[in-house]
Amino acid sequence: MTFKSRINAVALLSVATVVVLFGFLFYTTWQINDELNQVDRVNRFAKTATELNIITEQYLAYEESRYFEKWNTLYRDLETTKENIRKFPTRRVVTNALPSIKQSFTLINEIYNKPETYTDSQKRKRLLERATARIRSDIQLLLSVAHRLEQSRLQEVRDLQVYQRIQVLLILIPGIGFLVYIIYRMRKHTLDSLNELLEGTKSIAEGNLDTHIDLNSFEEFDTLANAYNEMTSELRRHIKEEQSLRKQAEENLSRWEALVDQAPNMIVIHVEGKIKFINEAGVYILGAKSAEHVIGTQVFDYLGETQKSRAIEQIKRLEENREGIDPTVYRVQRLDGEHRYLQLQGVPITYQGKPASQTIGVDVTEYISYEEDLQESLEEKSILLQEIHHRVKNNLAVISGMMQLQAMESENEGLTDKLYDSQLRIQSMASIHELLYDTESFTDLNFSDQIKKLVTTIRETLNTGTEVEINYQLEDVTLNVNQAIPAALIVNELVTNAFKHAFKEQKKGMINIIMKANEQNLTLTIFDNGVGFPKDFDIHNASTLGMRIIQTLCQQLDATIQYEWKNGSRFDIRFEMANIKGIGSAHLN
Amino acid sequence: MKTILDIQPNIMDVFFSKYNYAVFPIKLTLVLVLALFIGCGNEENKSIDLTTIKVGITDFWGEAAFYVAQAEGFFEEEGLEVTVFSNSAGKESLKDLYEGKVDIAHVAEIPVVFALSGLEPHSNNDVSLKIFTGLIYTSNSQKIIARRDHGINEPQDLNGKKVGLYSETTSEYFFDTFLLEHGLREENIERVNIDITEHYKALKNGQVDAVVSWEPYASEILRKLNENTLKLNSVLGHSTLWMATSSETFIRKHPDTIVKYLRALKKSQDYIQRNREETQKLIAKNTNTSLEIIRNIWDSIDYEISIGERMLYLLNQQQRWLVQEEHVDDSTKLSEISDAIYLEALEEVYPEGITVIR
Repeated sequence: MTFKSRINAVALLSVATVVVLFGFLFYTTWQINDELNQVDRVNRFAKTATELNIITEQYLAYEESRYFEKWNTLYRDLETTKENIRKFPTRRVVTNALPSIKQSFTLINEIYNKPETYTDSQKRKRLLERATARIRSDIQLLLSVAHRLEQSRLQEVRDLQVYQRIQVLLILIPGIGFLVYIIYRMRKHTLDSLNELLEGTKSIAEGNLDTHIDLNSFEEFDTLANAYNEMTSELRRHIKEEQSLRKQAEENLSRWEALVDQAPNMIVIHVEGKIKFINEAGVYILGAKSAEHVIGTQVFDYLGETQKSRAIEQIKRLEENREGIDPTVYRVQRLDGEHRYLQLQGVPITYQGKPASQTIGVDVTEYISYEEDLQESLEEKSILLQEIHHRVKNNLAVISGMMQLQAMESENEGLTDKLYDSQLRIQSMASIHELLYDTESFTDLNFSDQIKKLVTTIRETLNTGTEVEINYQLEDVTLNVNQAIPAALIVNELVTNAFKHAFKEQKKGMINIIMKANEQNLTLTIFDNGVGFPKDFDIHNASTLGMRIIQTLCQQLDATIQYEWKNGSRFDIRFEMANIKGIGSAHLN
Repeated sequence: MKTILDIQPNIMDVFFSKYNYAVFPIKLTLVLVLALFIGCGNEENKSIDLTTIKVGITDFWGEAAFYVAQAEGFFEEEGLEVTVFSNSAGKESLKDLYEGKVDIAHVAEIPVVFALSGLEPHSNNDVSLKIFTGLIYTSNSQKIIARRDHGINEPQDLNGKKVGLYSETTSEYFFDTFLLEHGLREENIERVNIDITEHYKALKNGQVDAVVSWEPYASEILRKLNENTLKLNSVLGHSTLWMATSSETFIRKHPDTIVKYLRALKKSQDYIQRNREETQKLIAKNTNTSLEIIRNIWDSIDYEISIGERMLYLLNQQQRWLVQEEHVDDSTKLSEISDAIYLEALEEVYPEGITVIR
């Protein structure tokens, strides 16, 4: 049984005892009141009977009618009162008394009212005496009955009172006794259980985890004891695991210490910059004789002034925010004055219960040296490459200039045009080399700048006499030189063709150049408002040099080209932007 | 007069009260314990010396308490060994008392009044009569039974007839009242003194035309003679007293015996209230009356030991009648009725039964 159930039972029993007790008291009190009420009625009956006796005497003495009326009223009251008395004797000896009184009184009246019947005064007097005696005798009988009834009722009240007391005791004594017994048992159970639990707890507190608490008590205490036993069992298991883990940790520590000591890189543990641990490799890298020379010094002592502030900031961030430090190369001054480059990388750890940093330093002095040499070599090669592009551009400029001179001297207009065409093609390639050596990169260039520069050159070169408006809608696109050169040559061919042929009949013309990049796909659109190509023009089967060049270049770019005439010529070239290795791997080959 | 504030429950009263259903187990335990103690007691305790008393009684249904006490052994329980002197009327028992043959006499009021007035055969002044309890309340136990075939249909028909009654009994007073009530002249009726036990035969044989008899003889006569008889009505009737009397000398010498005697009667009183049927059978057997008659008249009597103002009033009334009838020729021999009342014993046994003005 649970402690809660027992408590509920005690509460229920207490309430039941009180309810029964109050119910019983209420009932018996009602009974007593009822009996006392009956006593009052009996007293009223006796009083009325006594008054009737007195009035009879008055009537006999004075023969006045008011006494007669009063007598009748009292007699009726007596009858009514008698009816209201419970357990009024029903035997004729009693019940005949009232009618007998009435009959005797009637006889008295008859004697008074019929004097002719009772002529002998002596006998009349004696008869009156007998009738009166009969009334008195019956009233005395009724008074005796009333007295007995009153005594009987009072005795019943006394009995009820004692009965009430005895019953209250009979309810209270077992009820309270039982309650006290239950409470005593509960108290004993509780205290015994608590003592056992306390003893068990003390034993556990003293480290005796083999203690087992055996209770046979309330379910709650049994549950608590079981919980204690489970707790000790769990503690034993936990301690065993802890010991195993500690052993493992110690092994790990030994392993770690061995690894750390054998590690070729410097491993330092420092708290707020103060070195707490350093491994053998660190001692060697810092040029110390032993770890003791280094432990206790500040990590900042080994850095140059220019790097100290950065190191302080990084360590602060690491210890406060518990963020690791990305590998950073520091120039470290050894204790013997020599400088070494160390790549330092820190991670937050807890060392002896405090937040600390573990920094691993890799000696990259030789790498740095190699890098410096490589950088120097790279710079030399860049200059060299720049020079190559410069020379290629200059050489193409010379070729272009020679072609221009040749064209100027030629009288053959067709040749002149072809020379100018070739000059423009060479210039477009030269401008790319120019852009390449003007920029830092030798492989990628800004193609929108290239297009503008190229179109400006074409406009200046081909002075056709027609005012041509150039509209650019160019997104900022960087192209690899291996795609930029063929793309630039395609633009050169199409724009040159437009300048030369599209606006022959027009004073003003307009060329729109649109370049859009969608992720890796590039769309280059060139359209004009010129006369356009013949209606049977098929760009894929065109025989002119310009168109064949465009087809060849499109193949190089793996591009598609579409032609459309709509109030002018419109070319749409689409290709995927790619980072093609090598320089000038293919132009018009 | 006790008031409600005076109510003090008596634990023993409650112990024997009818309300104590719940204490029944306690009662049972106590009774068993008492029985155990009694059982373990000295064997000599079983043979208690009984006090012998001689009691004169009448074969009359008013003696029910006495019959019950005898039958149920209440006298023995109270340490009394009763020797019974059975008579046909109380006046004979009273005569035995005056002659020293009995210690206690059960008697109605007229013989008592005769005795207290110094009339023969109770003129022995050495016996100062004491009434120590009334035994019953009854109404109209006296009846006048007449022969129809003798031409009697109403009280006035008694003129010129012979009426049998037992002289010096209450019947005399009742018959006098009857004559007064119906305006009959005493000289027109011939009285014949007949022992109560002979009334039936006297009426049956035509020795008399009517008898003044009392219960259960009256009902027995009516039953046996049936249609030949009728009961003559009386408004006033007569309420017979039935009293236990003794001499002052005996009471003075043996007050405890009177108390024991009353205790036995009180036990009978309680028994009668609880055992109506058994009591009726006992009365029928002792009075040699049919059970049917006893049952018919049962309600006209109530058994209670008592001394009340009514008793004193009736005794005084009848003593005055004796004087009026000039039965008493020497008024100096008249005793005060109230002086003849002995209350102490009843006060001790059953104080509730006392309703006299003191």
